[in-house]
Amino acid sequence: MAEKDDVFRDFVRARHQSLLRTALLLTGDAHEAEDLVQEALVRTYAAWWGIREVGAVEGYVRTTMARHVVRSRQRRFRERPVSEVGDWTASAPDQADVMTVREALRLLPAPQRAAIVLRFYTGLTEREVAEVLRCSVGTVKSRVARGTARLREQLSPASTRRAGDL
Amino acid sequence: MDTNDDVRRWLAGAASLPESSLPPDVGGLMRRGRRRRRWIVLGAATAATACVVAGYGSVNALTGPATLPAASAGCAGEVRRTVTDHVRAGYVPVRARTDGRRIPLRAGGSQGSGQWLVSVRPLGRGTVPERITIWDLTPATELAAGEYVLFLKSDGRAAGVYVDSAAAVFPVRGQNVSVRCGKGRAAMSIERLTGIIKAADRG
Repeated sequence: MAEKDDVFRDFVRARHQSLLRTALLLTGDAHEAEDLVQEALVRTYAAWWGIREVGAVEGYVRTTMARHVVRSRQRRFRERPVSEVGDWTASAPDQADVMTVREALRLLPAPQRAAIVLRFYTGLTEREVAEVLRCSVGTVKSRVARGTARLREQLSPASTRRAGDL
Repeated sequence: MDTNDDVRRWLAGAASLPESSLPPDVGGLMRRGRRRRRWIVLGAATAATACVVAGYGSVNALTGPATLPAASAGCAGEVRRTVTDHVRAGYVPVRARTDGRRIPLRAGGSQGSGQWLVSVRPLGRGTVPERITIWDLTPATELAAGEYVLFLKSDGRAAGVYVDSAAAVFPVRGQNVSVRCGKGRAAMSIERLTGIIKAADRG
């Protein structure tokens, strides 16, 4: 048990920031991203003995996060902060640009958002994305095409120049 | 050049984290993992209540009009104010995270979006409940420490429920629980209760 805990602790400390970045893109919201990472890590810890290689853990967590985001898209009550959160997100230098992109991501349907993030941020192939999201490669292609089109609608032409310079 | 390079650049930029992001509470995550605890969260007030029941202490939660009645029914005391009112009264609005941490929020812009801040007082710090009480919209003036609270809306549908967790985490399986709804009261098993609430939750 102690060894398991140590490995888990080391993994979380080493990879938390990276997971948080992916979660940020999957949710489009900083606080939801933190919750998503926590939820995925809790599930990962609970399933620790079923994971064959420590090297596969990160993939397991990312898969858990992506599936969780897609699954929870039909939640009836979506939590909406009542104000801008200054403490967590305000320190980035190009805050407006970052927030513009995040907002555009957040407006995408969760399956499209997940497909785009896994494909273009995590760098998975279309087949790998299909496995993670439990859908066909054709569906992945469709989601990516529609999602990127909507992103470009939101971020172009005026925003494209700013966001592209991030 | 890849035709999707623009998307990759946007994503890389949007994934930037500020230096102030909090480190994870690994111990808390492992404790949750060991208990196999899962919260079924339907609203922010539920999250706050879940934190309180789990022993995290007093939590403020933001909630919308849909969950406000249920949330206020679960508060130990009459609390129904807007975020701005709370701030004027000296409260610090926070967002409750699932690991029990609280993140400060700024006030403002709440009324227009129908958001409310509901304060929830501790119901018993880390106490294993001996009985479960279901409250309808009756003011929860009799709420006692150590109870595990589930909410029912006036139309009989459940709100703010995590029955799976209650059955899994707390030793109540197979026991009868006291069910109070309006003036009525009945005893039923936790399994039956779980089924009823799950069915209600599905609508």
